[in-house]
Amino acid sequence: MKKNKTAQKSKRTIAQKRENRYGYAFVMPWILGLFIFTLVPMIFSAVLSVCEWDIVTGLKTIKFVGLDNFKRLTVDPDFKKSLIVTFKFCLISIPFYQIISLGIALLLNMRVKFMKSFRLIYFLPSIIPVIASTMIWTQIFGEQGLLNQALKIFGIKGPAWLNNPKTALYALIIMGVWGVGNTMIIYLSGLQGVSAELKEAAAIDGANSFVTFFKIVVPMISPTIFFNVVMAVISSFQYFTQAFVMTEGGPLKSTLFYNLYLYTTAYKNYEMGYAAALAWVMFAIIMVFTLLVIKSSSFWVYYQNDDKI
Amino acid sequence: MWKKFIALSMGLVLCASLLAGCGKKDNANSGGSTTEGSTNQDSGKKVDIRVTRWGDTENKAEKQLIDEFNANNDKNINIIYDVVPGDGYGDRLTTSFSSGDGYDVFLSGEGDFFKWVDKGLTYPMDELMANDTSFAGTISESLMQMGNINGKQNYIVADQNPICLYYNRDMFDAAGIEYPNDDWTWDDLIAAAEKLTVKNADGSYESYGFNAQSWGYAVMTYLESLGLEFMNEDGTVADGYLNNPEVAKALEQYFAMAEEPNKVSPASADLDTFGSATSMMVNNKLGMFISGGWDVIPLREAGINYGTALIPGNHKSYVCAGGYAIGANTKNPEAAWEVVKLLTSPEASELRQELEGILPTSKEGMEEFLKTADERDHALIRTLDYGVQPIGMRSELGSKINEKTSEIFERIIYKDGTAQEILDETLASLK
Repeated sequence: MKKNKTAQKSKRTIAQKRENRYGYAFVMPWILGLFIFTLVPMIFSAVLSVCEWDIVTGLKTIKFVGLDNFKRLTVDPDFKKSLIVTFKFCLISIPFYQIISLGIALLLNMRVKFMKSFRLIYFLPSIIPVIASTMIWTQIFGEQGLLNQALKIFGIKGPAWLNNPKTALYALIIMGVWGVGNTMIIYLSGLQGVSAELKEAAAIDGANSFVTFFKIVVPMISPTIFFNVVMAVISSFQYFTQAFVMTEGGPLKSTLFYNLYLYTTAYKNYEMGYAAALAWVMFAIIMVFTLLVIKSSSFWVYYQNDDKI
Repeated sequence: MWKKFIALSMGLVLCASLLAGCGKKDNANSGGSTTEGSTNQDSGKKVDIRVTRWGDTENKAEKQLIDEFNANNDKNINIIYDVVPGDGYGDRLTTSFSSGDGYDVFLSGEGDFFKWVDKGLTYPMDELMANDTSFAGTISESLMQMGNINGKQNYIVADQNPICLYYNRDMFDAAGIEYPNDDWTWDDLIAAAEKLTVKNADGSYESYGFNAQSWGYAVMTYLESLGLEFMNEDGTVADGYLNNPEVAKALEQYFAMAEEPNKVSPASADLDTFGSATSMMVNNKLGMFISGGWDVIPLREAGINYGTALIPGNHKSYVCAGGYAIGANTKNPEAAWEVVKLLTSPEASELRQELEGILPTSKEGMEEFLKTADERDHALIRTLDYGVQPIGMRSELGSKINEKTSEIFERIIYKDGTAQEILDETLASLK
C-alpha cells in the first residue's frame, strides 16, 4: 500500500516536472526577450553611466570616469532646461488630460441614441499612428492653419503655434487631447462599474448630480483614477515622439523634453556615457513620482473590497 | 501523446518566431542591396565589399555602376550596396561602426569630413593611390585637396555642388524686372524681392521675392559674398571675425527680410504652409532662393522657367561636396580601393551628370560639360570660380563654430538678444 503510494507520488512528480518543463518552454521566448532586450541593456546602461564612450569608435574605447557624468549634470544648462520643460508639461498635461478624458467618459456614459457610434468616434483618434497625427497637427498649427482660420472667425489672429517659443509647448499639450481615447475608455469602464443603486440611494437622500458625482462616483472610480494617473506620470515624463517630429526641441529649446535631450546626447553628440547617466536620473525621477502617487493613494483611493475585510 | 506533441510544436513555433524576429533585424541592416540573389551563392571566393550612401533607393548612377561591376568585374569583388533613405544616414553609419565592423566604403558630406577622421573611421588612401598606376587622377586638384584631411587623402570627392542664386523667370517677366546679373549687390536683390512680393488684402502673402532661410550654408554664403566671415581663412582665429559688429549688422538685415514691416521672404512658419522653397518656386509663389545644384533636376522636371545667377556682392559661395572614404575597419583595403576608384571614376562622374544633373569632378569633364550645358545652369557652373571652403572644413575650431550656427541663427530670428550679444556669447562659449 505504502509502495503504491510512493509510486503514485513519484509518477505525479515526474508528470509535474514534465508539465513544468512545458511551462518553461512556453514562457522561455519572453524570458529570453526580457533578458536580452531589457535586462542586459539596463545593466549595460548602468555601467555606461559611469563611463565615457563615443559610440562610433566601438566598445574598445569605453573609459571609466567615475561620477563625472553625474557631476556634469549640475553645470549643464540644457539638462536644467529640459527638466523645466518636462516638469511644466507634466504639471499641466497630467491633470488636464485626466479631466478631459473623465469628462468625455461621463458624456459617453449617458443613455442616448447612437451612443456606441459616439464612443467609436471619440476613440478613433487614438488608433491613428502618432507620426500620422503629428503631421496633421503640424498643418493645423501653421500660421495659416486650421486652428488660426477658426480663431479668425472670432477676430483673433493666432500665432504660428509651433514656431513661437511662447506657444510651442502649449500647442503640444493641446495636441495631446487628441490621444486621450485610451484613458477615456478606462474611465468609461470604471464609470460603468459604479452601481446604479448607490446613485439612486443618494438621489433619494436628496443629493443633486454635482454631489452625487463628487461623493459617490469619484470615490467609486478612484482606483481607475489612480491607475490612469500612474500611467500618465510615467508616459508624460517619457514624452518624445511628437516633439522629435514636430519641433525637434525648438524654437529656442522651448520644447526640449528630457527624453529628446537624452536622444540628442546619445545619437547626435554620440556621448553614450552622459546619455546613460541622464537615463538613470530620469528613471529615478519617474520612480520617485510614481511612488509618491502610490503612497498617497491610501488617502484618496477607495477599494470596495476593503469594506469586506 | 497528442497533447505533448501539440505543446512541443507550439513551443518550437514560439522560439522560431522569436528567432525570426531577431533575424529580421539583420536582414533590415542589409536592406536596399542591389545584389539580391545574384552573387551570394556563386560568390564562394568573392570578396564582399559593403558600400553605403544616403539618398533614395533610385540613386540611378550608383546602381547602374555597381550592377555592371558586379556582373563583369574580374577582380573577384562583390559589392553589397546599401542606400539609406531619409535623415537616418548618420545614425546608420555610426551604429554600423559602433558594432565593430562598419562599412568598407561610405559616402560623407563635406561637413562631416573632419568628424569621421577625428573619430578614426576612415582609412587613408595615400599608399593605395601611390601604388596604383591605374588610378586615373582626373579629379581636379581643388577637389582632391578638399578630401585631404590632416595631410592624408581620407576622401575622394565624387560630386560637387556649388551654391548659387535660383530665380523664377516668369515671375520676373510678369513684374517687369530685369533678371539678376553679375553686377547685382544685395541691395539690388532686396529691391527686386520687394517688387516680387505680393500681399493680399487680408494681410496674407500671395508670393514672396526671396527666401531668407536659416540654412547655415545659405546664410554663410550671404556673409561671404559681403566679404564677412565667422573666422579667418585658415580656420585658426574667430575673435574679431565672429563678433565683428559688421557681421552682427549683416545678420540682422538678412533675417529682417522675413519680418514685418518690409517682409520679402517667407518665415520658417510660412514654409510649413507652403512647403519647401523649391515647391514654392514651382507654384510661382517664390521669386528667388539660394541653393545647390541638386535643385536643377526638380525645377527642370517641374517644367518651371528658372534661371541661375551668381550670388550678389563679390559672388563668393560655399561649395558642397560628397566624398567616398574607406572604412577604417575594412579587412580588404585593396578591394575597397577598387570600389572607391569605380565610384569616383570619370565614367561615374559622367553618369551622375547625365542621370542626376551633378557637375563633373574633372577639369576636362567640366570643360566638355560647359559646351553642352543648358544656358540656364551656366551661373551654377561659374560659381565654382568663386567657391570658398565651408568653415566646418577649415579646422576643428571651424567645425565647432559650424555646429553652433543653427543655434546662433535661431536665437537671432526669435530675438533672444541682439545679434551682437548672441555672437559675443557664442564666442565666449567657444573659449
